[in-house]
Amino acid sequence: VTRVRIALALALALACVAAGGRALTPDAEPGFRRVIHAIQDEGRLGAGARVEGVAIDPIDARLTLVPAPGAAPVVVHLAGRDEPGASTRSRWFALRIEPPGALSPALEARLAELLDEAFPEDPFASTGVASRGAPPAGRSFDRPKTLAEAVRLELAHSPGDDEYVPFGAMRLVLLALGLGLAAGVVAVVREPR
Amino acid sequence: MRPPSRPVLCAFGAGAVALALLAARATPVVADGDHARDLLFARDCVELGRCALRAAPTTLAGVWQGSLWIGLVALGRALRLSLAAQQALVVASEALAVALVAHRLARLAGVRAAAVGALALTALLLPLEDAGLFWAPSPLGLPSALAVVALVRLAETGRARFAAVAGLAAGVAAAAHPVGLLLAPALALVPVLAARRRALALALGLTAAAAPLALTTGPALVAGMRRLELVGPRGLALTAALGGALAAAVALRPHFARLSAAGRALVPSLVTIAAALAGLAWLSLGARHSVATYYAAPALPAAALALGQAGGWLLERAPLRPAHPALALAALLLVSRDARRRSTHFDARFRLDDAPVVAARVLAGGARWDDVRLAIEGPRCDAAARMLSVAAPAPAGDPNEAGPARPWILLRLPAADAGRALAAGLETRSLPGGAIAALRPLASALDRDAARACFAGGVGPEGCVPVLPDPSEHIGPERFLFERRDYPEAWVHEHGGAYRLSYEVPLRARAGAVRLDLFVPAPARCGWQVARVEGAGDPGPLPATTVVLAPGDGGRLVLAREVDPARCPDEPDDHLPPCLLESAPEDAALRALAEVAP
Repeated sequence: VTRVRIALALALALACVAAGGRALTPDAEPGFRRVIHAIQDEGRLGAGARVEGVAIDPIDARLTLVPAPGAAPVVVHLAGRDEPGASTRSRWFALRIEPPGALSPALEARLAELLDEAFPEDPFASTGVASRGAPPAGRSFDRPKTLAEAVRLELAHSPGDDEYVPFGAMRLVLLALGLGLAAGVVAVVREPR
Repeated sequence: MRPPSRPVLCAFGAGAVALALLAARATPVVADGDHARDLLFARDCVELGRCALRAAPTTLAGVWQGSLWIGLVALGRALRLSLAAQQALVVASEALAVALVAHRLARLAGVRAAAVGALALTALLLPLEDAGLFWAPSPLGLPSALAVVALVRLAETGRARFAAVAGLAAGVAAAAHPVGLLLAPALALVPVLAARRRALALALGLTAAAAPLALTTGPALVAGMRRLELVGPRGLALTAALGGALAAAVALRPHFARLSAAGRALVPSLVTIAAALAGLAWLSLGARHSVATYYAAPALPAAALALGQAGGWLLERAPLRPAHPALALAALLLVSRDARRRSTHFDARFRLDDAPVVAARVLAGGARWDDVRLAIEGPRCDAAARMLSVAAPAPAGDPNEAGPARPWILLRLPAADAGRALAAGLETRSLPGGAIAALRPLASALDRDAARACFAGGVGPEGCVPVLPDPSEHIGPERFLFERRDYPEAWVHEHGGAYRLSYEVPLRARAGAVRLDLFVPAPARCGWQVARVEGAGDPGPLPATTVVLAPGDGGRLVLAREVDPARCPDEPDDHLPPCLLESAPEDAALRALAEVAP
């Protein structure tokens, strides 16, 4: 029975990995270039709006937007359309704005429209074994074409605020781990009488 | 009160000997780039209240450091522990690892085995890394030892709770440094082989391992999985390999049960050693990554346990009894080896405890926190710049308002050279440990703030970028480093094949001739050279590591490094500009001082 259970668990794990999720492929890059062009060169989100950086991971993309000169940067998380917690949805993307409410509903709607225009086809592909292709030779998802772009993208890849915790929380975690290790030392040293 | 048992006495003895030997090895912390960056992350954590869960990127693309080590250093900083005190705590944890191994061996195979194992682990830990380093791999000893000892107890007793202990310890090791992941195969296989309730033990072990990773390293793991594309074929292959290994472990259970008690106890050590060897072989041959000695750290307690069991068995059968003379001789050899290590020549690299003395002068003299590496001149400019980065206060405003960088000549010399330094026009400051810092501000011919970094060849993008882009765009603690990410490290690391990296530095007006010496480690077939000099007279034959710039106004200097992996396969990927020294051609005294450094 145990062997059957293990086999079932393994099969389930394999199926989960094989089924995978949906990921952005290198083909999505021109679409993001069109978005940057529309915002910065055509002024589609208003005069002076600019894109500070686009960080593209296979799972989602982060677009750092300055909606007006002197305004604070806004991070637009672009995940697959079915992602929960979105404030707006375009044809292919779920948009989550950080900080929430930093863009007006009208501006969000314009951004969603712009994304629809920039991405005529679904930029996400299945990560299943059969349909998942490797990036073209010599290219990764976010490899830039120019040095300036390389530096900008590298900066955009810096950890976001969700990758930090306050020192108080870190202290608590370390205390818990320290106590856990101490208990572990006692457990392995103690012998049954 | 009962007297302590023999294994407990053994553990105390082994721990004390290890503590003495390992403490004797410790030297003041050298200002290395990796742990300078860790210290800056820790400073962010304490002073800005932002503790990064994804720390520095490792040299293996797509793998980031976790934050456990940074959290520990931050805790030390918050408690106002000196670096020496924090080093002492690391040494104490290593001694505790030795004591744990000795205790288990004494229970398993007697005092002789414990002595052999304890000495083996101490001997393996001693040369593990530069004793002056204080970085993420430093705390690996204790959790690695606890993980393997717990797995040994699991193999002896079959109790699932030891899987939980092993899991927690392995998780802590992996959260401290990614090489801790080498413990994962043993953590998965030994419960299946040995536990009475296999599924429970496996689940407990993996959950306990996941907890510290999720709490301290989650974003680093997620980012790594995304970057390495583990959701997909690679993940499938890994899962299939793990599934195959688990299936093999299930099939081998009856054979495991038939082993003697000693044989069963040996299995976790052997699995850990085999996994470490396989991992390091993949790293070296598969990923073509250099393998440092400390990468083996997670497997050292396992190796010591195996050696202890084997040594105890041999000593019981050896004609010489008692075997104490041999053990004493081994201990003496260890001590002498250690003494030899410590009697090395003068080290010209700045140490972190030099920082307060030097920073008080250099930072007060006008250097700003984000000055670039080129701003420090001298043979060991890298360590000097890192030391100053760590000592500099956190930025309080726009760094651009601080004005242009003011370069300094900065040398670390033996105290006996103080007179020569003064004669060469340098100020001196006494440093801890009897050395001196010799320094002076410099009217430099190099316009550092207008320098550009250029890249050509390889698979990366080509072109040039300023080395001083807008610092307000910089996020994270690297902004506090003098040696900043302005130097486009990210794409240089992704180079393939031959490439050329250069720095173009405009020249300032010069009243007299200026001699420029580059400090390039020998032998460097692909090292930095002055490739071109424009508008500064005849510099002599080029490329060269020494040129003389004629007096004049303007001009340009190009420092270049031509890298061809076929020609210089073992040279480091040195993408930062070289250390250099400007001096008047007749100022031989200054150059002689700089050459004191190796």
